[in-house]
Amino acid sequence: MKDSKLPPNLIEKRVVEHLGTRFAYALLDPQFKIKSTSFNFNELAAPEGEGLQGMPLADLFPELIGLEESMGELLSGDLEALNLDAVNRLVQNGSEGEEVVQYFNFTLFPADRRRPGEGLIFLIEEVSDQANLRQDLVQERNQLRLTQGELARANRELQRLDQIKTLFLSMAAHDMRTPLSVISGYIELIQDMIRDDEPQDKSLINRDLTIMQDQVHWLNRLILNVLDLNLIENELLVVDRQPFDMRLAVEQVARSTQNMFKNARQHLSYHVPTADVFVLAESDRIKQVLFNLVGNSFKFISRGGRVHIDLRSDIDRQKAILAIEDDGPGIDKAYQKHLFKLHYRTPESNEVQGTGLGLYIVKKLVDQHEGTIWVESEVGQGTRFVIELPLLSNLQKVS
Amino acid sequence: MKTVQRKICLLGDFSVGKTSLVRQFVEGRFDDRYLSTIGVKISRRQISRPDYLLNLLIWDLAGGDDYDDVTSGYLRGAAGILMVCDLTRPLTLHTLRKYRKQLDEIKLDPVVVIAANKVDLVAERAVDDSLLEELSQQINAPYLLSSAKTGEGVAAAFDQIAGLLEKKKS
Ligand SMILES: Nc1nc2c(ncn2[C@@H]2O[C@H](COP(=O)(O)OP(=O)(O)OP(=O)(O)O)[C@@H](O)[C@H]2O)c(=O)[nH]1
Ligand SMILES: [Mg+2]
Repeated sequence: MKDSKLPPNLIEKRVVEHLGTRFAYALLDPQFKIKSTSFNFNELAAPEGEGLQGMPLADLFPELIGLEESMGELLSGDLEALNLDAVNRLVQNGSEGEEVVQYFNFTLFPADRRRPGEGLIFLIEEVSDQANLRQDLVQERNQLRLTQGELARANRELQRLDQIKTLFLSMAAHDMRTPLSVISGYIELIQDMIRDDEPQDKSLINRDLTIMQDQVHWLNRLILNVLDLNLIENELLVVDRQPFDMRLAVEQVARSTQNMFKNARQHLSYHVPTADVFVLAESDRIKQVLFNLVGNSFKFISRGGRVHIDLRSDIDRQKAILAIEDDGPGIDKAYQKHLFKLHYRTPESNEVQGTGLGLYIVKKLVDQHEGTIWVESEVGQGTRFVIELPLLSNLQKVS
Repeated sequence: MKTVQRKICLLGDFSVGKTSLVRQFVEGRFDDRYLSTIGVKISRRQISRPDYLLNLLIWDLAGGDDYDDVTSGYLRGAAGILMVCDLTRPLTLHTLRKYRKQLDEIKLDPVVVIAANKVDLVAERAVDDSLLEELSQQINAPYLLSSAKTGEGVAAAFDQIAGLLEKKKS
């Protein structure tokens, strides 16, 4: 019977070996200071710690800070045990000294059930193997859910685009019918004139041809917008920027839309400064922006209505400022921020022709020129679109 | 100067950026990879307040919409909670409503601030300010926009919690 009293640490070692898990424990006094520990406590909890006796447990385990109240409840017998599962701790890994995450369960409970106030046992158990398995599972589940979410989103976006395409096609077809019917009307008119066998008034025919020409331009711009939409959607829209005097764009657009306004009994006016307004831009694109904005205003003003183009340069801020103002019905504040989105149209604009594409393309083109565009409008007060582009310095103009 | 210690927990759906916010706040760095947290990781950082030093013990918990008893164990003794949602995933706002309900059920009343995270992902943003206002009212907690990537709003979130803690005490 000589061996019946194994030293306690040997019993512990056997138990630990037998269970095959890594755990250790410490006995705490009522002030939560360490009274004694299991033989392997240092190994698990305090790699460099000697002389742990008397040390407040929270100095070793900051995880316990904030739990004083609950630990008090353990001492008073109001709480049976306190668990913290899978606490992540960075641990130096062997000789390499690199840090790895290990997972531990912490449990605190009274050392003596009947006299809980005497002190607590703190049990620490390494559970990295289970936690790593759980990590793999949770990681996979979460990734899967994220992918599902992305798929669902992509799907909704596709549906939305699909609806827009359908809507767009019908709107575009509708829009193109207007200039086409005008053109076809004038063709008939001219055919009649020719059939009449009378000597023809050339100026009359010429006037009709001019109107037809305007309508062809209009059609052409509608088609260009459709083509640009394709470029934008495929991120292929690029602009070829050269030094360019914005005044030219204003004058040309005003000249070539003049007739359209006159025929509709509407007024177009413009103002450009006497000094040049050079920007770095693709001239055709700037004209396209202007055409779209002027065309947009044209659609919304009533008979006798006015559109005014105003160009100026702000030397202090080095900006070219282009404004297109009309005395049309104005746009409700709520709709203004959506105006430049694909196919957004205000409820009022439903009865008016236009693909709703114009403003979207204008915004993209202005973006490509490092400019900004915004709208100032109030219902009943008309609308003003403003574009700011960076002015070219004198130096840049020369080079 | 006086030093005060406070426990702050991060709550929110998985992958909203809780771990990343803590990493940014404590270590000043960001990692693009996603490693789901298991259990809890506790970090510390001291911030200075007008007349004392505040030692924050920051509890980064595993995310998910399945709040259980384990979670409430972690919340013991928390003075403040940073609730995190993801601006690119509207459903993560709803998870916070569930968390609020569960806090009320276990009669816990810490100060709460909402971080609407990943504000740097402008193109993917799917939650507008009005939804956040609404959430903020329902949960009864202020919100701010944050990015663990750029650091925007990160320190501000913890400062706001500290401010609310001071207000609550006085
Ligand atoms: N762009 C961007 N990405 C972020 C931001 N915050 C987090 N992420 C990324 O989002 C993913 C998830 O971030 P985590 O911080 O691990 O999320 P979590 O909330 O801790 O997730 P769980 O631990 O599973 O609950 C990672 O890939 C991060 O890099 C952010 O502000 N902006
Ligand atoms: Mg995490």
